[in-house]
Amino acid sequence: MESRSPKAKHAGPAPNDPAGADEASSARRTLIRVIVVQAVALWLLWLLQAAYHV
Amino acid sequence: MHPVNWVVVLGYLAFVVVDGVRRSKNTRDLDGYLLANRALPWWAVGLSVMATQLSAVTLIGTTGQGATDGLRFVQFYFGLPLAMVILGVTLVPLLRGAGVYTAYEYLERRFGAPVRTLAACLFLVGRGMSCGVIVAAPAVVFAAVFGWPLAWCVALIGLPAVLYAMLGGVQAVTWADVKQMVLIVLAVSAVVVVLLVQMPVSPGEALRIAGATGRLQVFDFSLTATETYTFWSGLIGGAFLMLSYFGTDQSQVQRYLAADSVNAARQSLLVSAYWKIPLQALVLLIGVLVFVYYQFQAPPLLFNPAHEAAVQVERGDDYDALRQRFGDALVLREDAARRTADAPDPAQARAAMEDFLAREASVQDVREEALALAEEVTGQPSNDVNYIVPRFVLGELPVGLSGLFVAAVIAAAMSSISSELNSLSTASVVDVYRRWVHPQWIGAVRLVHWRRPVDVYRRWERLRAADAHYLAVSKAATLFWGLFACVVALYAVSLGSLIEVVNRYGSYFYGPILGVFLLALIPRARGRGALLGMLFAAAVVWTTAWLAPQVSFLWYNVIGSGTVVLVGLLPGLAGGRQGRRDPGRTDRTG
Repeated sequence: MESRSPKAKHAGPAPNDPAGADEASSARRTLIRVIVVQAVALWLLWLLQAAYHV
Repeated sequence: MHPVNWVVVLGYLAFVVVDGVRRSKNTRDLDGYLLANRALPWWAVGLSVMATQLSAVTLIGTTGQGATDGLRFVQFYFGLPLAMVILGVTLVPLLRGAGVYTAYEYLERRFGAPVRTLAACLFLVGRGMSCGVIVAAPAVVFAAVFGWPLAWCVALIGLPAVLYAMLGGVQAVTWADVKQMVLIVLAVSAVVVVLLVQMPVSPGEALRIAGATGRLQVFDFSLTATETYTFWSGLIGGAFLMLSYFGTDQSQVQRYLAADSVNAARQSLLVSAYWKIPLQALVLLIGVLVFVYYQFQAPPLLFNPAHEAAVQVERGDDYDALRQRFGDALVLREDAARRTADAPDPAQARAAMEDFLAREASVQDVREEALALAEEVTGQPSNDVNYIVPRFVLGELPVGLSGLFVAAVIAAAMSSISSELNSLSTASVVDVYRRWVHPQWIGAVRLVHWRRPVDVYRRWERLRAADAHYLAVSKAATLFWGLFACVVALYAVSLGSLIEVVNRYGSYFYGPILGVFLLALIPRARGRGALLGMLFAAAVVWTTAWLAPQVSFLWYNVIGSGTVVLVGLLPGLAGGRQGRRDPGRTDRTG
């Protein structure tokens, strides 16, 4: 891995930094998981409204 | 209330105080007291985050809102999951990495001491007031329902929370929150089950009646800024409010700063991201089911027993006449409700439903007259939405379960109060006292040199003495804020829908605070722009609230934070891309 200056370390992970890439993909996975779970919750609420709301 | 219910309530109170005091053994230094030595597991922090947000206002006010307004309040939380993910990626690692006690401490490193102090003061004022409202919410209801003086109810709810928060610090508060959250979920689930069992119609028929009155309408996609709860205000305004509340409000930040790692802090926020909307829908469903239950059982004409008694004494004849009309209207409505539930085909169901809605309207007309009479007699706004569920719980639930629900209401209040006292004490001591009044720690480091071993020892001794001093001041500050909240509670007597009051108070301050943290993420932003942006944003939000009260308070968060960012990036207030060091910036973090 290429060496990084102290300033670069504070600025965040380099584009080819495996740790940074892991973190970004983990955040992406978490976002997708949260969106899917919430979409299911909202869909159930939508079904409730569609079935009974007049 | 039945003695068995009192045993449940008093047993809970005794347990929570004894457990809190027991945990105080682990808080011998400031780090342990304010941050539990950053060693708490994610699930405990996650439950504490949820318990802090879920106050007695939720169990009393939100359920009442469910009974009168239905499920649509749940839209308020639609932005929460998104906000949690954004925070997990941005602010959580930033604040954890900075090794700070408060979110505002970080602002000094970025923008200088004035910005930190202004943000901390906005937090102290806003949170101190809303802590009073959180004590007042159940106290006012308990005073009316049990007929006790308000001061006793404030003391019953406030003092045990002050005691364990003061003695045990964040450690005691977090573990108490965990148990309180379990108790709340247990009580809420039990009430839903009992309601469904006691209901004289099937769950499907109950939902049909609720749907006929519009109480199962969850989604409102209208784009008007004057409607408080819509899909868009919840998703956008709600996301800003939640970003601000969970990302910059010390009462929440302190929870995840106490987690044992950055990942644990992130995971703790995700507990709310997954569970908040279902839990909130369940809480609102209690209100909806109580509304349906009262279609088949005669409800009180006025749910506030104190107002009911006052009207009976002052205008007994008028009230009796109203009750007579109310009784007649209820009989007709119950008949229409049964026909709606039993209708064999859709055509008959539609006809029965129209009749039911007309009967429901005439019941509500009589109630409006009774509320107006109560207002005339008591001289107080007679909004009894917060008394609907407490009256139902005490009058209709089986012995033991009523006590469990009352204990859950007190638990919900205490879990929020204690976390807020923790955070108010931390911000007072770390951001104000240690920073401006008594910067002893800094003095200890600077005055003692490292030349001789005796100096090293003197430095260590001074640090230890400073730590003990700040620990004592933190405990005193917790006590002070606890008493302050109790005094505010005594004056916050008539509050309308309590959940709205808390969120409205918060929204005046949250926008500017969130804005300054967003600005901190932009490299060219500078201290002067941040300070002016905050002041200008506060003025804009308060002017909007004053001149355009019809604008939903959820939009205050968007307006406030947007104004800070815009003003902070104005030419002359922001630096260039490679900007110079901020003149207001200092390494002295207090």
